[in-house]
Amino acid sequence: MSNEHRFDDGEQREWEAQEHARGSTSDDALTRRYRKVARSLEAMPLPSLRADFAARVARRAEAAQNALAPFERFAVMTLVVAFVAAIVVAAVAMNVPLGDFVREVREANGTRWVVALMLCVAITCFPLSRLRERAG
Amino acid sequence: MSADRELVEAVLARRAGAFERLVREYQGLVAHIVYRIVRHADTVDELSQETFLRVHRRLDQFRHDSSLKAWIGRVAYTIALRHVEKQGASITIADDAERFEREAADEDVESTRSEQEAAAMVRQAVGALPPLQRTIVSLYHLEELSIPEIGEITGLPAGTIKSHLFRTRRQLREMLEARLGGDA
Repeated sequence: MSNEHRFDDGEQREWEAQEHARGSTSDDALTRRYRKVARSLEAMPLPSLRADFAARVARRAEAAQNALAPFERFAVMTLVVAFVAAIVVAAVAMNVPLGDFVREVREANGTRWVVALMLCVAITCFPLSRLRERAG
Repeated sequence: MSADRELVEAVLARRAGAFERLVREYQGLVAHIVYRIVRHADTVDELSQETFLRVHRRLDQFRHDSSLKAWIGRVAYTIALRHVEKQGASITIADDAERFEREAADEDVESTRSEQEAAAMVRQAVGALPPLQRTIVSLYHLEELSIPEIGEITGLPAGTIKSHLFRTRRQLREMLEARLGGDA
């Protein structure tokens, strides 16, 4: 259900009185009554945060940003090492020299390898982005 | 370059002190929005921190299609609202909120007796409003945000904000007239 409705003439006059009450010194009775409402609203207390709030939050934000950087570097290095290791292990398991194995992979259907590599990168990046979000 | 854009770029470039400056600039608004929604003084600090940490994380997504103030306000509004939803409606009027507001009212030595009475009644009535109406009327009168800015924060159309403002102020006027009689 929408809360919007068109103001009729009476409501429009009342709206104007509400708005004028915020600034004008008009002596119109309705405006005067709304001035009391406006003054009371403006006198409502505002919450205050501790004096060191901004410094504390800035320190936390910076710590969260820095905390993940070494982890990200470690994750990328792990990925590279795992990739190289996978090639070596596959070559050893198939009992072929590493050079021949790489040549065979190159000559095989390249697209499948590219898709597989992209999947690996996506699988690695997704948890990293989630971690970054949580650390913030 | 606008002050907002300059500040955002400084934070994104990780310039020393830039984020602290941003927090200092908008912490009042954020605390205000959070407080009006959760009405629990102890939670204001925690949720305001959560707001700024999210702002820090997502500032690169800010496209300058609204003011930075409204964008940050929107983050605070979303976080506070989600907190209230998690906690349930029972926390909307908390004892410490009442105490906090009473203490602040006591400090207002400049007001006349009648104005103090009216202010106390209005505070109480605003406190009893649903969180959305309470936030709208408070942002309009205390933060002096415009109707479109409040719309950006709450995600509501300008016409709806205007209706809420109109009805709430009319209710408050009628309440004051009923309680203070011709004085109101």
